[in-house]
Amino acid sequence: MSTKWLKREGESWVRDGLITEEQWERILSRYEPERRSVGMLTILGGLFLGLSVLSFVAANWQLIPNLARLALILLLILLCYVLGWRLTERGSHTLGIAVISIGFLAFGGGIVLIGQMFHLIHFSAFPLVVWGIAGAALTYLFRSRYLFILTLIVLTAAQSYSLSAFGSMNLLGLAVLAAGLIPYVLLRRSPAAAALWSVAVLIHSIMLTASEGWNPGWLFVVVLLLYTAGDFLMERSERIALRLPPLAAAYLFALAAALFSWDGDFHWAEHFFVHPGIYGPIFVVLLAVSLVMKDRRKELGSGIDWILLMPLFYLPSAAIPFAYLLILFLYSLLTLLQGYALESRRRINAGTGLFLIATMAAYFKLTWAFLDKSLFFLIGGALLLSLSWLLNRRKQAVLDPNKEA
Amino acid sequence: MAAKRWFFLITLLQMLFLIGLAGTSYAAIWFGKEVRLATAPVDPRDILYGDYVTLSYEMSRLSPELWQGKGDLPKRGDVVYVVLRSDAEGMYAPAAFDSRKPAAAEGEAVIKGIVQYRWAEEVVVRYGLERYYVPEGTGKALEEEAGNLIVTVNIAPWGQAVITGVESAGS
Repeated sequence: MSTKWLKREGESWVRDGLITEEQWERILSRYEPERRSVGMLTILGGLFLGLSVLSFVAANWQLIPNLARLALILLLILLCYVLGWRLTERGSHTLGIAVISIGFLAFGGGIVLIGQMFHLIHFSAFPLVVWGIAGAALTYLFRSRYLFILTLIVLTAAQSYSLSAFGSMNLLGLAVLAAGLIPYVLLRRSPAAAALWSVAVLIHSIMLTASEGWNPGWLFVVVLLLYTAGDFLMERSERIALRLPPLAAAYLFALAAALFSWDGDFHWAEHFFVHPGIYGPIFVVLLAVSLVMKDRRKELGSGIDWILLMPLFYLPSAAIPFAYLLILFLYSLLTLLQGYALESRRRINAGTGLFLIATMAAYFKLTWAFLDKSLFFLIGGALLLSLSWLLNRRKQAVLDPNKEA
Repeated sequence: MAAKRWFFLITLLQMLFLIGLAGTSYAAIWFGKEVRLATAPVDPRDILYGDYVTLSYEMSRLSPELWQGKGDLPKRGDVVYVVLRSDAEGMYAPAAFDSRKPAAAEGEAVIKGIVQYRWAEEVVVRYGLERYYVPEGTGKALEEEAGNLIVTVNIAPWGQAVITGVESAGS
């Protein structure tokens, strides 16, 4: 909320007799803007000072003896941490976290620089994972989303390094991501943190499956697990945030599967997917758990998401693309219907977009090979335009113009 | 003030980790046995990545005949101990390798490495000595000589090795 807005609105509150002049002044004094502008100047000043020191040290780095370099790095870390702690103690939380994050980055820089000083090559990504552990510890201590994001980036970088240098993932790093950071997601109750964690787990799972040469079908199990885990969170916005990345992954897979031409002679289910005897029970159990949780939270309507998670890849290859086209349509139509029923503009818009994508995919799949290309685009364009016109008319009819969802 | 204590601990551990990282290298230099190794030509040709030169040694590619361990040749990721023996000129070359740490005789040193690849003719081992960082812009000259250098390495009793010097082998 801006002070400008408060000043403008406050005047009218006083005029209308909602609050007295004195009360308004007391309200205003609670939101004094002075601190913030001073904070900005301090940040900029500190940044310039820091940059000047950094560029000076960097320019003369080769001339500084090893021990002095080490001392400099340690000093920088200590300085940033102590200063940052002091700042958060005095109430400048944002500025304090910014300074602490510089110290945290300096710690990672220190690991790399010590490696260079002694021409070291580590035998694993362990030192970088230690960097991630330090980040996780700081994240908990300061309950900071910014430090949380930095930690996710450091862990992903550490795993990329581990993968490129040693051809395998670091197990400790995976444990830190999965077990070490999930309590933060639960404690912090931030949708952004939940979504980012979910994305990171997906990325690391893909890396792990690829590096170990595992059956890519296990990724679908990860998607199901992540989605179901989302149903356990307390706030609706958090649940949606955690479920969105696995759902988006499932949607993209369905779209790709609908457009892909599945070679009938190749046994896809055997080579690319987990044996249905294993996948089936996992799917059924997670579906049941998810639906029970949804029922408890009184949001059974989001159960339509499971349409996208259906394991249609076990069908005969010839049927796969059409089955996925079908669920793309089904999902978009159900989203639209829910939008109309709940009179939710956001759902209707999402459903409209998904329906147009499904139409395009179907049109592409069914006619690309047969139609002349200019005719293809002409008819396709006309189809899309008339559809969006129709859907928009329906939307106007459903949504009361005075109401915003 | 539990939070303050935790913060103090986290800061301290980070400092100790960096000091430890540097400290083991310093200890390896102080307590280690000095060994001179000749470099071997490096494949691929493009060996200068930014600010370090890639080095390869005779001991980087071991002949399976030198294997002293029990059973099959070690797999990728296995730790091996390589016995280096010095010649008349004080240059060290691999004499044997084993999965368990052998005792070093007079004129010998034992270095720890990790198997990178293995095929019938050779076992490729990494020692953490394959990079030499140089001041920016000075790598070109060294790069041309990368296959013809003498690298001084200090090997600690616990197997860790640190490069302490690089010089041209001459012609």
